[in-house]
Amino acid sequence: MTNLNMTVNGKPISIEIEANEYLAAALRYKLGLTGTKIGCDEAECGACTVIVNGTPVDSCIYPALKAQGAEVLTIEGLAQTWAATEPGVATEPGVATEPGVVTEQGVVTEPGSVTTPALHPLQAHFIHQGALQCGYCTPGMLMQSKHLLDHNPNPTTDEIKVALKDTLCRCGAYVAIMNAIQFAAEEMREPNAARQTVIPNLPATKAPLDVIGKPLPRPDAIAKATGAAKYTDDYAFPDMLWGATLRAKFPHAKILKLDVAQAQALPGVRAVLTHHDVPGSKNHGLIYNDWPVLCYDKVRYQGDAVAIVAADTREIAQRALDLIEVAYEPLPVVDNPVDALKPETIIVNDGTGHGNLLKHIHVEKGDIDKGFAEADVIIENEYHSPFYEHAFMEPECSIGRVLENGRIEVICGSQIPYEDRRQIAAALNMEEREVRVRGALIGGGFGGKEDIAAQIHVALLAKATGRPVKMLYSRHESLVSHPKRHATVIRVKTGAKQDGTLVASQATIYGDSGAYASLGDKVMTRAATHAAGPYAVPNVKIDCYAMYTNNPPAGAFRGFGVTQSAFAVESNMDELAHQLNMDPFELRRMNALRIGSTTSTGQVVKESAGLLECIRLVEQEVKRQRDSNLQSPVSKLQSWGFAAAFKNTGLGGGAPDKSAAEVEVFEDGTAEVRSSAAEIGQGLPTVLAMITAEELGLPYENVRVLLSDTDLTPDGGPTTASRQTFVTGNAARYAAKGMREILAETASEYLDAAPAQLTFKDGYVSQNGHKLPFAEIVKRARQENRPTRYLHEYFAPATKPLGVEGDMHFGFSYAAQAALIELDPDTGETHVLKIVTATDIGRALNPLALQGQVEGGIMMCLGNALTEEFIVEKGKVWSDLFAKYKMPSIKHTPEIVSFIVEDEISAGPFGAKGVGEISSIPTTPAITNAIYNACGVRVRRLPVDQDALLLAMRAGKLET
Amino acid sequence: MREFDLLQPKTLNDALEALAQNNATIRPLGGGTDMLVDLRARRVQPDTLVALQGVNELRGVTRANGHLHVGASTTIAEILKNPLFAPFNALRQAASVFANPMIRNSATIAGNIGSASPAGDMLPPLLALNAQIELVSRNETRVMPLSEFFLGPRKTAKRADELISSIQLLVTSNQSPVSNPQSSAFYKLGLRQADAISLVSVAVWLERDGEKIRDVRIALGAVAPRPMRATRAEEILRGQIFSETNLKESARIASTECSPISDLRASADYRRRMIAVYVRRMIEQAWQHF
Repeated sequence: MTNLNMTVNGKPISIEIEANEYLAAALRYKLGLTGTKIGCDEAECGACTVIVNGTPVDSCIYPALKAQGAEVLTIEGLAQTWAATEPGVATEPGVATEPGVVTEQGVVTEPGSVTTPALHPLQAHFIHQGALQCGYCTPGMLMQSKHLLDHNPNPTTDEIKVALKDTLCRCGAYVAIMNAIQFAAEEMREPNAARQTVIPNLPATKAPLDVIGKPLPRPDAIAKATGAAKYTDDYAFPDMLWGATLRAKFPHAKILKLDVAQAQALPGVRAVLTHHDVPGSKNHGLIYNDWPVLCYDKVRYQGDAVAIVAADTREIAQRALDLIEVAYEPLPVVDNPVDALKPETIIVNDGTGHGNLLKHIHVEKGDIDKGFAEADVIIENEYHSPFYEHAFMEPECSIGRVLENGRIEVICGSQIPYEDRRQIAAALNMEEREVRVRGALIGGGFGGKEDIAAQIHVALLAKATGRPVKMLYSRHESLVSHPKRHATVIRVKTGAKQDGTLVASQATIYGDSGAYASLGDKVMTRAATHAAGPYAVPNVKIDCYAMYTNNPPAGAFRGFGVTQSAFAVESNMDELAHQLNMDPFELRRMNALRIGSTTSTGQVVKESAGLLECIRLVEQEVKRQRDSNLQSPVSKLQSWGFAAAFKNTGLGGGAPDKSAAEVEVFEDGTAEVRSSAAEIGQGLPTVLAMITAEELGLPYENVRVLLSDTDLTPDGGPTTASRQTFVTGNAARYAAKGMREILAETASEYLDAAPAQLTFKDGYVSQNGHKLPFAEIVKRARQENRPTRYLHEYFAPATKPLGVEGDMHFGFSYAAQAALIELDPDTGETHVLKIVTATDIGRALNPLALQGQVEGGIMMCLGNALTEEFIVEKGKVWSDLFAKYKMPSIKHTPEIVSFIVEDEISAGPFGAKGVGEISSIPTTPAITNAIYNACGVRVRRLPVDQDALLLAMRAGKLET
Repeated sequence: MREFDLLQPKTLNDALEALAQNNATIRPLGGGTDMLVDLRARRVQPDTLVALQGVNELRGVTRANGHLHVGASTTIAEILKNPLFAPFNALRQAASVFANPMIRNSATIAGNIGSASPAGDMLPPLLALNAQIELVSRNETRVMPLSEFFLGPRKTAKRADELISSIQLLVTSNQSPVSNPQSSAFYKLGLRQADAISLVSVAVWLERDGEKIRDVRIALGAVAPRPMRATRAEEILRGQIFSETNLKESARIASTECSPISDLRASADYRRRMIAVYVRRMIEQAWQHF
């Protein structure tokens, strides 16, 4: 131990430190400055950026002792650096107040500053521009931006890209981040100048209501921008132990012997548990109970959990893992779904009783043979896509503790809190009422936090030790253990008449669902039902095989299988357009789903089908740009490519899709809305607060949101399938309406009017010029013994299972996108310069949050097309560090032109449908189609490989 | 992570004394950007690290006797900031794409050299600029051309008791009226536009005499067990007129001189082609700078 003396945020600090401790950990765990985040612990992501003696450093690899005598600035001290230099800065509390009305693209009418004395201009503008979503990268992003502005008070977009190129934001808020930095820079140069507040990238949307439709900042934005926001690892309890997990040594092996004696004997170790110590269900799983809590007979993938340890420190827990003896008998490794289906192949997991076949999904419509017989042109190709990693910036973390009454509490970042509760209770052989799951803030999910990670393990260890236990996954552990996007092999055959009319669409899909089912069945069902694209095709036959293998499990990932099949079908459509010598926009327009069309599953589209409008808007913009900008650089090939897509909102397929929300009103004129529905960065609390405020006639900032506590909030169901705005949004809306009706009863007596005639607006209830404050009505309602909270359980419109006549889904969102790419013909390097996108989401409840989802979806899918590939070799994960998994950075950010189509759906809250996934689906095929248009080579295999592309170009081959 | 001792000597003597204890598991620590990640991944497990941050003798960049003397602890960020590096364009280009700005603030030139990765970003420009390296131990100081320093992947001529003390670059800029104009250029090709480890990197240095290339050095990274000079490709250009034909031929020869491997990132064939593309592009770029 050495004494470390330094100044942190202006205060002298002295702590005891070991030589092998790092600054990030010291700040977080020794000083409680948890605003500094650890994303990777390998200096790849920038989340841990702090400023040491004026220089930004990755504090995760910065030895704490190097900071001896240094001045350290963290996110917690950022605001005071501004307050200290500029005491008289604008005092309008612009962040909390309503920014006003959108009049035209991006311009908000209310002038003035958005900075408050408590915030640095960077923080204020990040909040106002929507530059933070899940918020996990935000502290690092802000510190890096501060350093940039300290040295360059007026940076260009290119200079910002250079400075921030290694500070990653998986929510993909890069456009907003660049805008926020430039506005902050402007304000810092001239703090007292009057200026109009502008959100440049905001798409035009319908005229707003009182609250709905306005670009309001997130309710948690200030906490996220100041470092006050708490994620699971930011919590600590007295006597808390650290947990660690022993992972499988082989991707497939029998466990012959398991000996934990030596590990147990290590001083500081408080518990070592194996499958023998799981008192309840030995398996867990979301749909199929096929995933061992701790492996008992064999291991099925490299990330399988074999034993768990709780110890006084993280280091001791790690050392204990090395002392656990496991004898294995390695088994043959099944590493792809096509082999997995062969009868001679060893069975990896018989979770469904069909050997390695997790699910065969069959979609049939019309007569496929007749359809191809009528076709003038048939296009048939095979497409391959690899596993992809969610790479949420916050690694999984769970804390388990025993409550005073013997109940178990688990704090975690989960996309499905009530499902966690069910699975924890089952494994511990407890009643669900004895388990409380509390959701902390979540640093990104994208589908990757739907399955159990360490939630059951910390509950077991807490119960075994009687002490709180925290398990924080390293990035390596996160990468090897949690489910991925399915790798697929997709053969698609498309038949059309000479005029472009589609007559037949056939597909065979193999999905690699890895060692355990996770949501593989549902994901591959979505891949199959969307495999004919967003088109009306009379004859369809699709067979999809979701297979068990020894690869990491595959489950939910933004797009839910449709990302993969859209790449295949939209590539085929583009090829068809070329074969028929047709305009690719026209071919899509002819066949696009519209009111009255029938989908592949036999569902008749009755409303809210804005695909034609999406295609029109994108086509118009692309043709306008093409005409106005004819020259391209001589040495590079430039081209546009186009694609369209659709994606269901809600679970569908006959699954009960319900959500509950509760609204409570208070005598101070505020309301609280509650639901166990996960916020993973997408903006659910914003939407719930807005809906509640709109219905109760309250100012937006008077509504608080409480999410994800199974003791305090009713079940909102999973955050998946782009469903929360629709389902929990509706639950909140009806709960607020119910609450309003009760308050109207009270108000009607005082205002002498029928309840239905009352107006709830701006915090008042009024009729004919008479009005009472909302707070007063609540007070009187209480005196009258009326309830002041209202719970509503909302059931989404019923759906039918696949294969049964009727509607498989209650709604679909649609999108069309065009990509402009630049290809270097000498090297095969591809850059995306521009994306034009149009998205039909029913109704824009909050254009700022919506644009964040659109841009973020595009960035993520740009990675899907060009930069990302989760590589597994014979069951061994190669991409086991962020350094080996390259997601798009700010410098990949193209110009994004976004149009919003608001084709309302009648059952949606104010007409809204889902947006979380649709925005990311057409980007990949738009890019690969652009590559074809640039060089004449079809990309059949993702991601685009510059090596293979160049080889194909050189050899004059037509595909790669 | 395994525990280790961290020594923080204040003088070069103290640092060399510690290394001279000849403990096999003692390692110098520069900026630590490689070492600390390796430690955490348990790829290296030293008992003792000698942090060089506080050793003043290893700091500083000075110009004297026509040479630039670059202290071992010079950070990559300083190469970008300090105007003394202005004549060495290739070095600055490499520094500008070196990892990320935060790593550049910590990572040192000696650290990058000492790591001796075949793909080390600073190595091809230093080779193309004909850098000399100075090694010190308790008993001696020796200077050698950097081209003789690299023995193989992560293997160098440095002994365990030695430290890299400085790098020396020859400055023959416009100050001397007789010398010819010089120019250099560097490019690193990453996979899929990501600033990952380079697939190939190319540095060139040219000295011009009218329409002729009076002298030339071409250095390649990530295409052989160690960073290398493409000496046969240089021969094609040296003393010749700058011409399309010569350029093409030199680039072709360079691509045959290297010995890249195929791995998950790219095929050997692709790497060779890229050497040809970028040798040509970099010579053109350097020539355009005149």
